[in-house]
Amino acid sequence: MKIHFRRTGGFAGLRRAIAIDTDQLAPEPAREFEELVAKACFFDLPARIKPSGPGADRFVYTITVEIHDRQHSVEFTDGSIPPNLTSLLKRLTQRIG
Amino acid sequence: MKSTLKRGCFIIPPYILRALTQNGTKDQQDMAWRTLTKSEQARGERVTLTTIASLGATATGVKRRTVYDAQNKTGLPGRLVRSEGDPKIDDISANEAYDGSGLTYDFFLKVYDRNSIDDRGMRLDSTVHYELDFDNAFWNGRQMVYGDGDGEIFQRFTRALDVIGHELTHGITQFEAALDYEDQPGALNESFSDVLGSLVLQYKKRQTADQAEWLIGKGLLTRRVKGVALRSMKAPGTAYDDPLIGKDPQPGHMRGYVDTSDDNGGVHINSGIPNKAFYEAAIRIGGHAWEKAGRIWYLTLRDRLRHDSTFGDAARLTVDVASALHGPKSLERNAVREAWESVGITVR
Repeated sequence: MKIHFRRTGGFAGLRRAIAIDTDQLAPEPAREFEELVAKACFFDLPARIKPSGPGADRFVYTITVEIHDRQHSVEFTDGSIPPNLTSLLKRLTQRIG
Repeated sequence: MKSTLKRGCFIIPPYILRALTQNGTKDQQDMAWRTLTKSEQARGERVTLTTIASLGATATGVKRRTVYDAQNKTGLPGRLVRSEGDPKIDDISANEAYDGSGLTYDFFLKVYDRNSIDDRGMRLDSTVHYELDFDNAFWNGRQMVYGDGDGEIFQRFTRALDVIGHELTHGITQFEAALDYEDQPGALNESFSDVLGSLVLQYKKRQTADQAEWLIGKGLLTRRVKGVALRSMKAPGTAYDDPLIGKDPQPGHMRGYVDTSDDNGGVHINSGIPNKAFYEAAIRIGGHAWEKAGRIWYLTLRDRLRHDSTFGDAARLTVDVASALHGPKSLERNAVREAWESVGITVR
């Protein structure tokens, strides 16, 4: 499984990105990422989740997951983080430092 | 992925949940209410039916500030720690948010006769210590929110007065031009926040246009990062150049306009172009930038721009406003026209 994570926007407008291939990870973190993606029901989420009201300078997050021949991307922001993606987002954010 | 993993994946859209809280069976009502409450908390939104309770007009000049502490979580607004008139507390960020929003309020009242974000005395709500090591500050449509920074790249976001002015100006924009937060209208939305945020700082320091540094977010980056600030209005693209965070990507001319899907269409990147135009106008006019150039920009934001305005619209409208305020053949009107010309936007 491959995960591409990108965080753009925010007050500073910095772009931070990371790509993870679970085949290249140790068994424990690999299993954790696979579970987090499964628990998030990732492939059922809409491609773009916008916050309900106005706002500015929020981070914009994009997560893309590839499993075999399936691929799906989800874009969301602070203020529209799907509850079932909170844990995955936390792990990915730790990895970009 | 096995299909069994999809158990529990069924996501009910919020509008259906809301309908269920009204019309469902007792069990459905309970489930819908719990789910809605949980997801709203997870999104960091305040769970209440009276979200606009803090609004309400006050007489001009009545400043009302409240500062909350998110206690390193994401629930907003968090715990109330300081209200208007309270003495300083033992929390630098909270005091900076209190003082900075006060200075911003005073600037808009004294210079542009504006009574707070909505011009009706709206309470200024700020939340500090949002999340853990959070490298950002933002406006959530109702209030200002500040992270502490991770200490490696960023320090706490309340350190810089222009950041506080920037966030509060997003509120003003929301009540006035309501510029879309995408592509050119989004970059204008960002630029007006930088322009007026910078003027709050220049006003406090009583600097003239040629004395000001024209930097945005000076003091936010740690010493480890090679950079002076996050943006430069005077020389977009030169604020930082560092192995970890890269090089400042801002253009200062239309020929450098960046087409991207990142950051809502590069709103924090392409804002460099109108930022530079404002700097050029302020320098050409001279004196304190908030007096003439700032007033032209503010009145354009308040009265002329629309939600979908482009850079070209902003150029034309600021020239119109300069002409209305100072005359069609005035130095000021020509300065604004030349300023836009210098970034590649021609006003006939």
